[in-house]
Amino acid sequence: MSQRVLAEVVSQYLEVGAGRDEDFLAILGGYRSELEPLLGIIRLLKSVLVPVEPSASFAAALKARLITMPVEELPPATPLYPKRLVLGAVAFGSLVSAAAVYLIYSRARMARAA
Amino acid sequence: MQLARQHDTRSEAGAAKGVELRVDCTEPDEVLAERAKVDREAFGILYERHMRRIYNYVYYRTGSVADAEDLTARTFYQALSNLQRYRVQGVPFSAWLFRIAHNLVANWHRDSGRHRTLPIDGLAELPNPTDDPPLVAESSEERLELRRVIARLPADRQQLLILKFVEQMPNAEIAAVMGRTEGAVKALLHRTIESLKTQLTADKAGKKG
Repeated sequence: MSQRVLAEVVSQYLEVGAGRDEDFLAILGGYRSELEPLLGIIRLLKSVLVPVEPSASFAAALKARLITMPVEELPPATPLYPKRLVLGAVAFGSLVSAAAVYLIYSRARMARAA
Repeated sequence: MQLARQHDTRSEAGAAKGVELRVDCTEPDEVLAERAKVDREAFGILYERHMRRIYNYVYYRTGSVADAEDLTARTFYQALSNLQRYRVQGVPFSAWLFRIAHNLVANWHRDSGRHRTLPIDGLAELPNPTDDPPLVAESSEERLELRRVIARLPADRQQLLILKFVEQMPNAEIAAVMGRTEGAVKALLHRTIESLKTQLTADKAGKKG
């Protein structure tokens, strides 16, 4: 089975087939040897990564604080994306633009020469 | 049938303008987010809907209850501060919140140089879903080993596993949170599970040898 198909099968199992291993393996019986170890890891992940519950006092106190907190006490609004990421994207965009201008210029020069 | 809980509120801003605002608890996040710009009660409902998910995400990324509480609180403070900038046409509200939490966790790791993730020490305290027969067979040792392997994964793969297994998000929502395509999420999920399988097998072989 190709990696792409296997990725799709694993994804489908997680979205709709979890807990119905035998039904799932019956449909894809020919690939049992490839799928079974992956389904085993998924089962193990489900047993390890379980939701936890925050303390009730923390949850209630934070809600009360959020509802009553004066605007002046809120932290200053910050951009969603870190400054370094934005600067990096701008620098990359500038480089691409410069390369494009250079490419257009050199092609035009070659065309003129020809 | 679940009865729609509806309550009337008069927000600070609304009261100042003499406007009575009605907040419907059944409204979608995006509608509530618009209302929350002028009404804290609406923000309170959004908090009730998303607090546990954000707390879980931060808890599994930091491995500590104290840090999870601190960063969860900071996530909602920042959300409240930045709410005016939130646009419904952009990412879903939940994905927007998760991005704030993700940035705070990333800063926390960078500033403190701490790499401890996944609450390994708290394993015994976590609920074990023993009502699922196939899970009973998985030994504590196997689960501990898996936690160790997950803790060594790159941050984006840890994030993916937490969103998929703890938060039980569909791939489309994970894609919105992580800023990737749905196809990229599927591929990364598969590669991550394959890599866990390889590492667990190698660890087992190493112990036997």
